[in-house]
Amino acid sequence: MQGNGQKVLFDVSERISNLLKGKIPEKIQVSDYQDEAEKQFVEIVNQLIESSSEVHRFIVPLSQGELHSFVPKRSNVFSSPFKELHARLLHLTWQAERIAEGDYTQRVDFMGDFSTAINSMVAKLDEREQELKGTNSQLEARVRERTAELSGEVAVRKRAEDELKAMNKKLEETIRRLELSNRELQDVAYVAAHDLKTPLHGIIKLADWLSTDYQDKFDEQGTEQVKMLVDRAARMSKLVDGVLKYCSIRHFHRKMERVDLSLLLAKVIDRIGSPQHVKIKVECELPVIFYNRNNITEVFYQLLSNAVAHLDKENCMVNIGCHDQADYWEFSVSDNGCGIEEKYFAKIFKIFQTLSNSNQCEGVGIGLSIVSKIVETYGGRIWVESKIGCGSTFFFTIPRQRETFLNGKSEVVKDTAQENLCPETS
Amino acid sequence: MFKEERDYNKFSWEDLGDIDAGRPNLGQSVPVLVYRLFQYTMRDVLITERDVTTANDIFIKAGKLAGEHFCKNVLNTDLEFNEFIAELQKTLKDLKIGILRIEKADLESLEITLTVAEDLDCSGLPISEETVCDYDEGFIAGILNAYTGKEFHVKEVDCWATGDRVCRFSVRILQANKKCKEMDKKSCLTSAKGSQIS
Repeated sequence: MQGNGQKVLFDVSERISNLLKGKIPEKIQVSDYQDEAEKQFVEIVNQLIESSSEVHRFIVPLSQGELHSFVPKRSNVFSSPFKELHARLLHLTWQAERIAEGDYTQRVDFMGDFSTAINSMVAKLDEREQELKGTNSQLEARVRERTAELSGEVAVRKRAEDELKAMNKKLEETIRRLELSNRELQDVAYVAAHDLKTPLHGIIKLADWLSTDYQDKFDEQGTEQVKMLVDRAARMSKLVDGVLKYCSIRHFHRKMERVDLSLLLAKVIDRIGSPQHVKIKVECELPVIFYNRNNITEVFYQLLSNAVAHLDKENCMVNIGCHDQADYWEFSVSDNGCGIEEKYFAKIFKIFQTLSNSNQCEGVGIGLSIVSKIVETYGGRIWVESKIGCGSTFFFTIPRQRETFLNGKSEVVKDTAQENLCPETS
Repeated sequence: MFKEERDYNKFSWEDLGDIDAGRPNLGQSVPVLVYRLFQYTMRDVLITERDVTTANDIFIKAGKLAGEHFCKNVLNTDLEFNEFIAELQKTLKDLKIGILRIEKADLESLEITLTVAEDLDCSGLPISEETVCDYDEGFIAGILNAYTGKEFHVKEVDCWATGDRVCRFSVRILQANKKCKEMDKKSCLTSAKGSQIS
């Protein structure tokens, strides 16, 4: 060795030692050497260092799964097994992406355990997809069958619905005609009753004159008959008034206003003019409601009149109650009169139905039917509870509507009865 | 039919003859060395009779012609791209041409990177500083041309002969059809298949 043999051996052995330890050493300075053979030797060692460095830069990221980092030069033969590994990993990645897209035609060739594992996985996936497709086809066939069946059922149901609609339409038409006919009937009754008033009034006057102007001309039987004539004419007048009132409920003036029931009841009680032995008592504080004053007056007047008319005890009591039931008011008028048999509970609310002999009682059988009609017109309900000898309690409800006032406080409530009100015609 | 003077290609698949009839005892297969003996002696003579560039060009053109006819006669060009690649991979393996592996395939730009391991042309050759799979470059371009109707440029970037253990090819389209670019990848490939060679 003509050059500095010791130095080159030292430099080279140090670099190779580092390489063997997995370190990438610095290249040897070629300029440190003058001898051509030593220079050539150092350059080759430097190429080895460069190749090792490239392999290191390539394999470390690759081992961490980075497939698109630095790739060694083509002349780096050391890197070829790693580049082959790199190529296979890239291919596996591409295959996996295709499989993820549902492409099960891909297969991995000649990659040992990778090929076995991936190919069997793809085959299984393919098999399962075929099974799923088969199941799906069966389900679709079933859906088609069921859809066809349902179409039949739907057609049948539609026919039934159409028939029902036609029947409903017919029913609505019948109800409309009935309502029209009922209204016409009420109109006729109203007109007839109204027209009867004048001649009836004349009859009553004439009968009265007869009984006063010719009382000394009649014998006892004649006097009795004239009295009967006057009584019957008066009763007939009451009947006609009742019919007029009943028929004109829908003709009532529908002016809605605040009605203080405490004041209203006081006036009604005063109007009835009950005897001394009859005590009419309001049991609770009454609300201020938003209703037609005439209608509400009529309801309480008829119920109280009816209660007073059927009192038969020495100490007669009539009590008026009120309960707030959230959506509606529930009022009650109870008495300790003669009571009503249960079998008549419904009958008493029908027009011209009276349980008393016309000669024994002033009632003409129209007052409670007027009450019933007014309450029901407002969407309320009326019923009676009674026990013979103990008395009766009449209950009725009316919806709370628009605004009610209690103890000076006001609150807004729904208006449920407006729809039921007839248009103002008077 | 093989030897008349002409300036156009006349090769057809039938020119390969009925091998089963012609080789009832020896059959379809020959050793790789016979193939390589043919190819490398041919290359050697072409280089000496003409030049390296001409020799390379002839191998690329021959490979392209072979690829086009191979695709048309052996492969199913009606398949979608990924299925087509799977079939190509299997066919190249069955015919022992090489082990095809796709590394990357961008179907919008039609840029593909693929490798062929155990390549018929080069695997096992002595290491030099030259890529030698010119015929493969043409062969791959021909297949893709027949499948898509587009011209491709295929370049071998790594080769067994350069010291790598697999041959890596970079593929890109030569004439990107503007209309094709606007279409999505599936319809692009489907329309391309409609204009392939007959």
